[in-house]
Amino acid sequence: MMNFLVKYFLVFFLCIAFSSVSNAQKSVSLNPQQISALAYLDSVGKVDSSIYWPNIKPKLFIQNIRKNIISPTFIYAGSNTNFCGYAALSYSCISTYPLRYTKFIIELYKNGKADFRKVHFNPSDKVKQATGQLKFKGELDINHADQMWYMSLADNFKGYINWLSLTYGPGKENVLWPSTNFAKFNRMLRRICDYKVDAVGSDLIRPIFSDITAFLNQKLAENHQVFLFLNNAILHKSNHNKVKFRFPTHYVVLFSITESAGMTNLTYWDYGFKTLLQLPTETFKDILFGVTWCNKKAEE
Amino acid sequence: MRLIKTIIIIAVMSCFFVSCSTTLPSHYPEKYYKQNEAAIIGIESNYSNIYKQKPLVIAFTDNAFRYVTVEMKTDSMRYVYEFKSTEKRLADTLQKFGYDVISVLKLIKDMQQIKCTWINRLEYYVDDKKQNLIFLSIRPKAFDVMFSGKKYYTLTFYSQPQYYDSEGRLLDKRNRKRLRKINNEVFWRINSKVCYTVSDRFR
Repeated sequence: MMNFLVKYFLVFFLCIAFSSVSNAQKSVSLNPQQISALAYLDSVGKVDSSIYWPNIKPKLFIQNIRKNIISPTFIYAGSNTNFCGYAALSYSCISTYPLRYTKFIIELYKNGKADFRKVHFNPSDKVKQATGQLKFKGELDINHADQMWYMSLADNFKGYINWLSLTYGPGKENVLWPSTNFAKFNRMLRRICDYKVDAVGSDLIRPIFSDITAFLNQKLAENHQVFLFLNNAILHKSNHNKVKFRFPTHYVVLFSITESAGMTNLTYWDYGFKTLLQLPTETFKDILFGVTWCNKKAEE
Repeated sequence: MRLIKTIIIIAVMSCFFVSCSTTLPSHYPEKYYKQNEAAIIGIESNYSNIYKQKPLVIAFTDNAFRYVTVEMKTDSMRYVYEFKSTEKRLADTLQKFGYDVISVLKLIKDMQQIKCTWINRLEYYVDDKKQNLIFLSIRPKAFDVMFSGKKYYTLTFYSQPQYYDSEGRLLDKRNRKRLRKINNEVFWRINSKVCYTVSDRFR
């Protein structure tokens, strides 16, 4: 009987100890900016439906902001959309400036317009009407704050690639309307994140490196945030056509790169996940059209 | 006279090319589904069971169906590898990631046999509740028509019966006057839970 009690209490205390360690880890993993952003979000409390954004559900909106602050890794561009450039930017921006992001997105929701640094956002009525109604995009269906953020960015920033589709219409999130050419992506990074941005590459001509792996590793070692601009038609094939378009369409955030025996192992972030992809080095060189590296400024 | 001949030749050739690109019978996908129903349902059911244990996406990226791309997900990472379907490394990797190797290899073999290029599961939301559907793309031989852009026959398997209009087009659940488009494609009824579209890409 005594033995049983001792075992019982031992198990009980171990459970308590593990649960407190795990709670401690959870709280330790949040940095001061994330804690401030959460405190601000809590101070806002519940929000009412917005007259500007009639299809955004307040509960889903707040839930999405909270998730973005705590785990920016899970920011998701949606299935078959052209939001990957905005998602890559958001991953970096929300990780670095969670409080600024939270204040901005709440103000945009409440007033229909807001400023992010010097960038003024006042999305069109069509965009406001469609936000909250994107469907069959995976988790983006219920991430109403992300829908609002991506749609507002796409409505606000335009590159030459958007000239053929300047105004939003249903389904245009999948085509040219939100597309992001390389110069536009770098401009957004400068203006939204206020980073010192350097880049090499273009929308049509691939950059030449003597040793691409060494170059990218050097940038990572210097503590830069590195973005790659890739040809997704080869990276993520969606047909068996022999003739492939030779231009890039996809942005990823690079974490690491190694090369051995003609194969390159890339670890990067896109679509709400870290991905480890193994591909032939020659293929990697073929699909790489741009590299952007940024000096992240001190957190605010 | 020579000019008229040239015009006639160009007109005949144009008609030929246009007819080549549009000769697929309109009910072909339904017929194909019925002819291969057992194999398709077997693949879908095997995939569902595998996915319940661990998420997995499989795609064939070459015309000959020799190379298979496998996407494996853990809680924190997604791993994407390409293998020759006969390579031993494929089974070793599946084993390392804790998949049921026999079931996955059977799935890959069955996919090769009916020219299934891709299988995946998509999460979607109805009334903010998470639902799942399985996508399965097939590239039947009959679709290898010269100049035809539409090469893939994408099936979606829902867990609940869906709504369709009188023409058999998939409708939105909440608003039954609105077509439910997935990736800008209209889907057509095969049965209450299965529908299809014909597309120029498999995913």
